[in-house]
Amino acid sequence: MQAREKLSAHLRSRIIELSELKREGRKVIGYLPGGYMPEELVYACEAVPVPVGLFRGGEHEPVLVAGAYLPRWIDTFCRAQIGYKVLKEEPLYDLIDLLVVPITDNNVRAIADCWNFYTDVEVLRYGVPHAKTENGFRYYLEGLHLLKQKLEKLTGTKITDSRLKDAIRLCNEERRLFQEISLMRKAKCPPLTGREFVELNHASFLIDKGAMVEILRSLCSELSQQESSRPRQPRILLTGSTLALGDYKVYDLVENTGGAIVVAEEFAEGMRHFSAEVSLDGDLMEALADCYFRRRIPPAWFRPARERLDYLIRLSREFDVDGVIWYQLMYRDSYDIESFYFPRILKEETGLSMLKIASDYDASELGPFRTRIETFIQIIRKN
Amino acid sequence: MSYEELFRMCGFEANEIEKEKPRIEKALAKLELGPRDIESALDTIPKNFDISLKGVRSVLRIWLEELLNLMLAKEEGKKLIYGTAPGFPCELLEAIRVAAPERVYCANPELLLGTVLDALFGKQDELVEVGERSGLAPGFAHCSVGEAKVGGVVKKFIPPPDLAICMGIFCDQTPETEEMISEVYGFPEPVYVDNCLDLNWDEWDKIPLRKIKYLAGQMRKALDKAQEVIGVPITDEHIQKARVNLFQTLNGVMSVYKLLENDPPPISVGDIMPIVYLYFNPVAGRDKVDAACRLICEEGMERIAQGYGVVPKGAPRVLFTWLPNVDNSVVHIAEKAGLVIIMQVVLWPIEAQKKPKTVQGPLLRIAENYLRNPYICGYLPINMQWIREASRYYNADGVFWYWMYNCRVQAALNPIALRKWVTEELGLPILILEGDFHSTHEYSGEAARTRIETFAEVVKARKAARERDSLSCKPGKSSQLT
Repeated sequence: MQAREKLSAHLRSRIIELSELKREGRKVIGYLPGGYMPEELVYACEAVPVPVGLFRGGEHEPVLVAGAYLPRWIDTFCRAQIGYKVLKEEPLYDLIDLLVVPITDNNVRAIADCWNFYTDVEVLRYGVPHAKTENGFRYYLEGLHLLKQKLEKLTGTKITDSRLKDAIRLCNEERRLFQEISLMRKAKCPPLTGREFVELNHASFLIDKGAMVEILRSLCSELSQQESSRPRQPRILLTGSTLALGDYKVYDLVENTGGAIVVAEEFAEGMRHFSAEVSLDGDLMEALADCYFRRRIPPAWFRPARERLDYLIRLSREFDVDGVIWYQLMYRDSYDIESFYFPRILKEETGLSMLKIASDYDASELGPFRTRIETFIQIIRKN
Repeated sequence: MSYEELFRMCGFEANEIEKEKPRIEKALAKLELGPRDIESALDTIPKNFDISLKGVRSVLRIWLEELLNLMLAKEEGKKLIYGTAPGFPCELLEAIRVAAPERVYCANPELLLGTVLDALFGKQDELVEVGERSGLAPGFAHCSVGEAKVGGVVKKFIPPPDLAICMGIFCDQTPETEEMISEVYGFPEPVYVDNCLDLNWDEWDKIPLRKIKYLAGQMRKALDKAQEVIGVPITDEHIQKARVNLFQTLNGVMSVYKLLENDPPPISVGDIMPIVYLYFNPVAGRDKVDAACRLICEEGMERIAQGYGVVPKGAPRVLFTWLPNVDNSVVHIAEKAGLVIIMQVVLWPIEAQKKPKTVQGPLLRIAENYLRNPYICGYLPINMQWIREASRYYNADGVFWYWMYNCRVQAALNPIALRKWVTEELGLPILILEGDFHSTHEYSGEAARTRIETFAEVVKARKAARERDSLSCKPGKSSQLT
């Protein structure tokens, strides 16, 4: 497919592009991709956002290496980010001029503190309150204003309404296209696998936004013309805290080995959220806060938890899902605690079953995961 | 074995036991504490505490009284309002209690149960195991105080409250656990006191106003809910009274801690643990706590006059993180190895905390106070500052960073980075010891004995060398991530 080839080409050359942009004087803004940092603000001051902390995941070596820098009782993904920085295998981690960390919980705070303690990179934190109250919204909005001021100071470029609107339009277009492709997965035979969708989603964090929008437009057109006569496969909703680039073992096990297909996913971190668009009316900063804080599906560390759980149930129905796989990383407590009582709610409201798997990015997990996923798919197939 | 002997050991008089007999028997029955448990407690208490001190026995008495109050509050017609361990901000429950002392009973039930059931009866782990089967699965490093709470709920040791105020000002696990308890076990939906741990490293000595306002707003929200439940307004006067009460208790606790500055200290820091936790847990009548502190100070001064010490004279001093509320064997082993545990991080104020408050109004001031606290605001640079200032003030010979492995706050405080900083910047020996403050399920003091004793030898040798050669701490450079 032409669109995918273009995407691969862009991905291969992106590090070189970024290095050149940096040499030209553009600032590179690293951030943790938990969905609470509006990229629009970065584009509006002509800087480049790169997801430090998305770029890699799923491997055990960085997790092991991180043990010399922070305790093991921190979420696996967060430890891995420190490990990748230590291993110096990812040039992206060394390109950034500023690291922006929206603080959601203690695990993410640990990453920010490690960067502060062990590197010379400036770190900017602002908080994400754990409830969508009016006070919480105002607090988050104040954080975005802090971010705006910092970006303007760093880049020397004022973030005007005009620049911000242009950035919002571009990002909204990307969201709209992702929504369009996502809805194609409701089809009896989706035109792309779950892994393909996730790789696309991850790529959108890395390559130039304009190029990504063009690729998505082409892909939409290509996919809408695809026909398939495959028999219906068992359909899976995948949910969890974090899905990092490279952490695709669950997709491979479900779709390659298990003969099922992931038709929808919901993750707090690592995935681009695209269900809500930023309004262009009124105060633009409030519009950003409204989209990124109020209208996004909250992670498990938000109260009340039912908003997210009800969303999962709605998603299960809309995508005609046959089962849910709950994929969590070790020591992300919020997810583990919710995984205790969500299966009962899911069963009562939809009749669906749930499989919970917990990973520490360890290769030895693959065997047990394969057995459990295959068995789960067999069970839901019979049902 | 009769419970009378146990209650007498903990400072009750015979006529008081007789008067409280119906309440005592009812509470013990609810907690499934029978003769064998009593026998075990009679053996455990003298090992854990110096009950030759009347002051220590009076503190144990307060805890037992609070346990009876918790178990019987609803039957006795009181509204039951809970906070969550470790109890910050303490002023909230104290203000509610002050506003309606006859109508309401306030507690942090998991703290209360943990201190009494484990330190006295050694039974906390049973609750932890029930909690692990009931929502907080083992192997995921869930907070053991949360596990114990879930266990207490399942076993009906913790009565359902009329209101639960979830203190999530630095902890993520507590709000999630409270929501689970509400969803699965039918407790009322909690009201959450939220906070964001987003202080930047250049902000630690000047807390941004927006943070203070946000936390104060969260506290007011909780008090507004409490007002609805108890039917009594909770005013700024009540909040201010709460601050005064707690300040008095804190003064009492700090005066007890002052005893440790004596060379040698006359009492064990393990005996101070139950008093410290009375600061964090509401008490029906803080004057009893203040009286207990005064009594311990008097008895301590008598011991000083007699030249009595729990460690040899000249023993080295180490700074400490936080006293566990169950199993104080870690501190006993350290003391037996010849170390003085001089101060814990949550209590000794750094210079930035002593600066005048920048805000007016009791809730804003309370919020600012907590946000300045090294432990509560969970900031690595502030904890470094605490170690820097406290080590100078106390002329500390080392740091004993005992941290709770299943507390994400303490893990994120990054003991590994702290060890590097203390070693390179201050030149002090530091022991980083992973443990569990609320359960002996996974860790115990005995398992760490060799490390603690070895550390004690290192500190002693260093102190001897310093005294001999008049060495001083030399600053170093921080390492870069390479």
